[in-house]
Order: sequence, then C-alpha cells, then structure tokens
Amino acid sequence: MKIGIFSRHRGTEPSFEELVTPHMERLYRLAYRYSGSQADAEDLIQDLLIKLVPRIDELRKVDQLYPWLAKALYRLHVDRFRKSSRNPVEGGHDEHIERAAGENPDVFSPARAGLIRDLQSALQQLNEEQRALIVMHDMESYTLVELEKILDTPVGTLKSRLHRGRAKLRKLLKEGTVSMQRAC
Amino acid sequence: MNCEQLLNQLDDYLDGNLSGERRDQLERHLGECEDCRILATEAQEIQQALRETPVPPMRPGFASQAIKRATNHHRHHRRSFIAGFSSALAASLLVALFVGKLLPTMESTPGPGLSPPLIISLQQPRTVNLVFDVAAAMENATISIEIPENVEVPGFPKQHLITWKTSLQPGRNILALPLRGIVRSNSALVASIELDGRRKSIRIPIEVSDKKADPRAGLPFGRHV
Repeated sequence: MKIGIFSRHRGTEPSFEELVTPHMERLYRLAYRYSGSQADAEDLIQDLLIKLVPRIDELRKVDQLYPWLAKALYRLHVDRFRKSSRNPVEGGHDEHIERAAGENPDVFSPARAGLIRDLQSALQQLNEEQRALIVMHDMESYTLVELEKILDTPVGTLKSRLHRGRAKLRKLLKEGTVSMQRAC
Repeated sequence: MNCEQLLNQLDDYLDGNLSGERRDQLERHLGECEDCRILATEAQEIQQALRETPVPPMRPGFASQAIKRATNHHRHHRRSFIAGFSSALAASLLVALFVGKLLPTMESTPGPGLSPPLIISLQQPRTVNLVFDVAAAMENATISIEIPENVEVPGFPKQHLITWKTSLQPGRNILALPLRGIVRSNSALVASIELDGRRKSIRIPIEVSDKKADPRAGLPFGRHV
C-alpha cells in the first residue's frame, strides 16, 4: 500500500483542495442526511478529509471522483454508526424543519411539515442499509445505477432493498408507530 | 392487473420508470381499486415529503476550513514523525544511510546477514533513528520505508510502505521511526531515498523477540550502500 503521507503538490497534478472542493457541497448534504445535524455532518466530513489526505495519489487516479468520495463517506458513516450506540438522526432535523416551515409556509404546510418530522422518526427505525438507500435515492435523487457503484451492490438487490424500505416506512406511518413513539 | 401486481410495480411507477402499456394498466387499476389508489397516493406523498426534507446549506467557509485543517493535521503529523535533528540521539538506535553522491543505479541492497539484527521487543515501541547523511541539499527527494510484517509503526497499523516527498539538508538528516514488534520473527526493514529516478536503499535486519533491546545497538551500524 502506498501512503503518500507527506506528498506535496507537484507540477500540474491537482492538489487535494482542487480535487475535493467541487464535491464538498454534495458530500455535506449526504453527511447531513446521515447524521441529522450540522455539527455531526461537519465532524463526519472533517474525519473523511483527514483520512483522504494521505490517499491523494489514489484520488488523482480516480476517473469519477464523486462516487468514489460518496462511497468513502458512506463507509465512514457506517463505521461510526456501528461504533456508536447513538442513533445518528435522533431529533436532529426538527429544529431545521421548523425553521424551513416558518420561512416557506407555502411549501411546508403544517401537514407537510408534520409528515416530514414523522418521516425522520420512521427513518430511524429502518436498518442502516435501507435508510442509506432511501436517503440517497429518495431524498438526494441518486439513480440506482449510480448507487450500484457507491454502495457496491447490484441494482437488483438495491431495488429489493428500496421496496422493503419504502413498504416499512408506509407501514410505520400508517400504524402511527412513529407518532406514538414521538409522544412517549 | 391485480393488487399484488400493482404493489410489485409501485416503486417503478413512483420513480417514473413505467412507460407505455404497463403504466396505462397500472393507472387503470388505480381507477378501479380504491385501496390501491389510497396506497399509491400515500406513497406519492411520502416520496414528495422525502424529496422536500430540507438540508441547511453548508456553513460559508466550512469547505475551505475543513480542507485546510485536514492538510494541516498531516503536516503536524509529519513534524512529529520526522523528529528534530538533535533530540535523543544518544539514547536511540541509529541506522545510517550514507548518500554521498547518488549513483545512477536503481537500487543497491546489501545481502541479508551482513549486519546484526535490530532487536525490537514485542509490543514495546522503540525509536529507530534513520540517518540520511547527504553531501548536498536534495529537493523533492522521495523517502520510502518498507516495514516488514512483524513490526508496525504506532498509528499506522497494517501499513507496510510509507512514502513521502521531502527536502534534505546537507549533512545528517534524522528520521525518528517508532517501531513496535507485533509478531515474534526475523525480517528486514528497507529504507530508500530516491531522486530523479535514482535510488539508494539500506536493508536493516530486524528481530522481534521477548528480549530487551541490546543497548550496544545504540552504535551506528549502517553502511554505505
């Protein structure tokens, strides 16, 4: 394994900053979806960057860098999620949803804002694979073909996983499981 | 189309992946079956709510700050990795790689067994000072350390090739390399310096054992390679 710990910007090769800057916004969105708060999203991104700096030679060779970065972010998130007993999205979205609803009452009716809040709670009850897939596919609009690369999983398996995840979301919302838990 | 078939195709319908006759059949069924119509409506509302779930914008300046912190983190690591030129020399093991004038050979590695092995205690980190003694300043030289399987650098587990670019000053440049034995066996560490396609290496026999490190190993035993 080659570890360019102290590599410097050489000649015309892109620097680390030049490589990752164009992808930071999208990575941040994913990190926020995974973690549920701005502070945790920033932590996740920071950890990712620290892990990537020594791999700059590898980054320079990647043809399509964004899927590669998204995959690294997902793996890091899963690794942190498994080590932590804390649910990553617990309650983190509420404040931002309230603010967004207040600023855009035409888009976020009280009913829609309520549904979005309930969905955040329901998402916590999916397994991590289903949740990541719904985050990336249904919330961030990645195609299954793109996700095949990012998640290292065949499209057929992703379709089945998406089907089960959506069905579980509907069931949770329909049964009121989420609302009951929120009331507790 | 029956209700079960609709359920199987609902995801494709929601994602806009149904076309032509299949979509017409599904929509005809929705017109006829109230249960399925309610299901599809709820599913569409959920999809819309998921898409509309807001994400606060990234904090201005965060991207550049985070990138800077990440690169500085590793610069700091380098400073602690390449120790100062004067500290703890007497107490450390010394292995010297003398580079008088780089020869146009790719590699010159002495055979094994020509030097006594460095004793590294099992699980006890020990600092080995590698001395790069160069006749003239070397800009942008590549240093490579091939670490054998029976030892590791604390903080770099399972990393057996560490390579980076640096500049060397004329005279003795010292790299303090902490090593920890992980498997009781014999092996060799190879330190190399490369500039403009030319390379010099030194092979350092290593023995990982329960023995305490021999204080006599404090003497330089590197060789001109």
